[in-house]
Amino acid sequence: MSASAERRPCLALVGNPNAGKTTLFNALTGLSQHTGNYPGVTVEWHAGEWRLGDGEALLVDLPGAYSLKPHSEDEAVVRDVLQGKVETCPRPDVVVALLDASNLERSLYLLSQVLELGLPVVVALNMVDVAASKGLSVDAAKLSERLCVPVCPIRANRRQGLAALAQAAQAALGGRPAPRPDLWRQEHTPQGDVVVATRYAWARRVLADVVERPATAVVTASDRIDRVLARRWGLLIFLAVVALVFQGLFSWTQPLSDGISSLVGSLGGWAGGWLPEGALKSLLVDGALAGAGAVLSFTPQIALLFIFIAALEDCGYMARGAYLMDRFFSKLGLSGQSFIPLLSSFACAVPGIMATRTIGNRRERLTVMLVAPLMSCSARLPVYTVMIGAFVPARKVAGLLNLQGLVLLAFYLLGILVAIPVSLLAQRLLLRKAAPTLFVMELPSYKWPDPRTVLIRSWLKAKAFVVTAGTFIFCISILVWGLAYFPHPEAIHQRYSALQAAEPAQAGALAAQEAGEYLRQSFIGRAGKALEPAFTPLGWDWRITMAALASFPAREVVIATLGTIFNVSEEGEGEHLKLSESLRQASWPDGRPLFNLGVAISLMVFFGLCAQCASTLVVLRQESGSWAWPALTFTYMTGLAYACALAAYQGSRALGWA
Amino acid sequence: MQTLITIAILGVAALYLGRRLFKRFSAKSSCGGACGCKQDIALRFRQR
Repeated sequence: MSASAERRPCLALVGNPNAGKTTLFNALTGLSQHTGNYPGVTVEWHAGEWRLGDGEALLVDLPGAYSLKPHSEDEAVVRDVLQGKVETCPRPDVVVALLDASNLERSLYLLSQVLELGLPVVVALNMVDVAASKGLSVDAAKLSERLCVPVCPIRANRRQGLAALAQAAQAALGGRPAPRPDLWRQEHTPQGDVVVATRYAWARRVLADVVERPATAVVTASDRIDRVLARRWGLLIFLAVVALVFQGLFSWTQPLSDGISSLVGSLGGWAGGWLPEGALKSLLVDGALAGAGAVLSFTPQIALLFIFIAALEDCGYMARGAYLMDRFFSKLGLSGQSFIPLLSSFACAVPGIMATRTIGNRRERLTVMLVAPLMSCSARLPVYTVMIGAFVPARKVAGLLNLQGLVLLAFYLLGILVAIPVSLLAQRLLLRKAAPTLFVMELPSYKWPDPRTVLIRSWLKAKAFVVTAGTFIFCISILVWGLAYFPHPEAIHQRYSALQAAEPAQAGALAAQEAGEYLRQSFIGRAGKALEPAFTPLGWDWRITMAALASFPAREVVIATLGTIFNVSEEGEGEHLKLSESLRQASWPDGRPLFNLGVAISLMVFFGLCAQCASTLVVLRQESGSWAWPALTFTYMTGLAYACALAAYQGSRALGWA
Repeated sequence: MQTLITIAILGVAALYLGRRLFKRFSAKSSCGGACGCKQDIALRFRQR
């Protein structure tokens, strides 16, 4: 670490899961934050700049932990950072311990261990309002007196009490370490066993006279809401909420997506008029701008999906989702532990597969890893939205629901429905039986989602998607353009120039034929023609085939690839058309329209089920410890995708949709 | 000239993609080496 970095004080934020740590971290640091992984583990760090008086300090948000005697990788990281054992993270100068005022006994269990580390500690007492709703009254001054550390009551979601917390943290910098309760001596029996009760007894002694409890238990608003949302009709309500999310994805983002497409189209027109005819102009307009336009136009949908997920997580409803799904999962030989990895896979299968580390039962873990890539990740969303937007009519169903939103929901359910038999088959045929696991989880109190937390979290994720996936898509679209443009034989141009000179009235039609001829003679055209017979039963021509095959490293590439291939084949080089328009205008050599509802369904089914993601396969190898699992996943998913796309197209033909 | 510049751009795109795929497949940790997990957290912030 450099000298300048050493001068900046470092503070660590520690607390139980669901104590409001992320909300407080976002309130203190805003957008001046970075994320990354701790070396050698899949635990993510979050750090930001916290303004303390005239200076700035580094604030590291540690993962939520119940104890410093680790039961998980997250808790081991918390212990190691606080002990200064993580080489990439400076040892904290001060620990900011976040206590949940509505659950103080358990919060103090962790605090007792933090105090024993010999670091200055400042306590942030959060959720005082939630405690009050449970009839609890906490005397912060008395608690501070008992612990001999400053205690600042705060409401992180309302940003109340943060100035006092900053003052206390600044005063603690360079101050004396907090007095140690020294419970670790009593905590171990002569046999070396850990006696948890010692710490809870200390917590109760500290809290005597600090917390006033009601004579009878108070039924909180959360309890009343859970009587509806977490009971009999809970699962149905949960599915209705998910359906609403998909309705919103379509209804609210389409104008913005269309606006971005139009803007990129205008930019293409401007650049096309400025550059002379030739390869560079086509590269810029048909390759680079078509690729960038495809990435940017589906960003609103992805950003809105992240906003919905962050809001549902922040208000506490996602935890109910895991609870509700436990009974359903148990029928599949899984448990509610599998819900979070599978839910994460709806954003991206990579963190979803990493999150299976929390599943103790290896049989269950391997099953979840096998089916996680079937969940519709955010990279599938663009192909769904483009196909549905172009080929499914935007009409109302039952006067209320949008048909396009319903079709989108159906494709998200497709992955779940296919995962059920795959999961059962894998457990029956491939994996040995193991004892069922016990699923224990905490249901946090409901609260209004904090807009700042939701927006920061979704902004960082959407930015990472555009920067990381966007550069990848951009490069692939440029390379696909190269394969679709070259060798670009001069003989074709000479032949069509002569024809146009002879028949000036047919100039437009001849220009379109010339563009088509170039594409057929290109590298991608020749390869596509050779492979076309294998994909014709799916309703695809060689252009769709090549777009699908080019998407095997990363499926999100397909929209940019389709944009490049169909834009290159369009009449008039340098003219950028909206992708859905290009697809509607595309035709077979005999003049029949190439795309129809059947082809769109077949393409979406293929993308919904196929293993088109190199990153997922690599992570599967790393997490399972063998190439057998990624090989199996790739084979079964690709085979299944082909078979289901074939069935979907042939079924559509039988119904008269194709 | 246009063709030469175009081929150079294609070459850069191919090299960049090749490098990213190589890093992804040869990485020892799950992050794929792209997250900078070996880099000091404090150095990720702008120095003042």
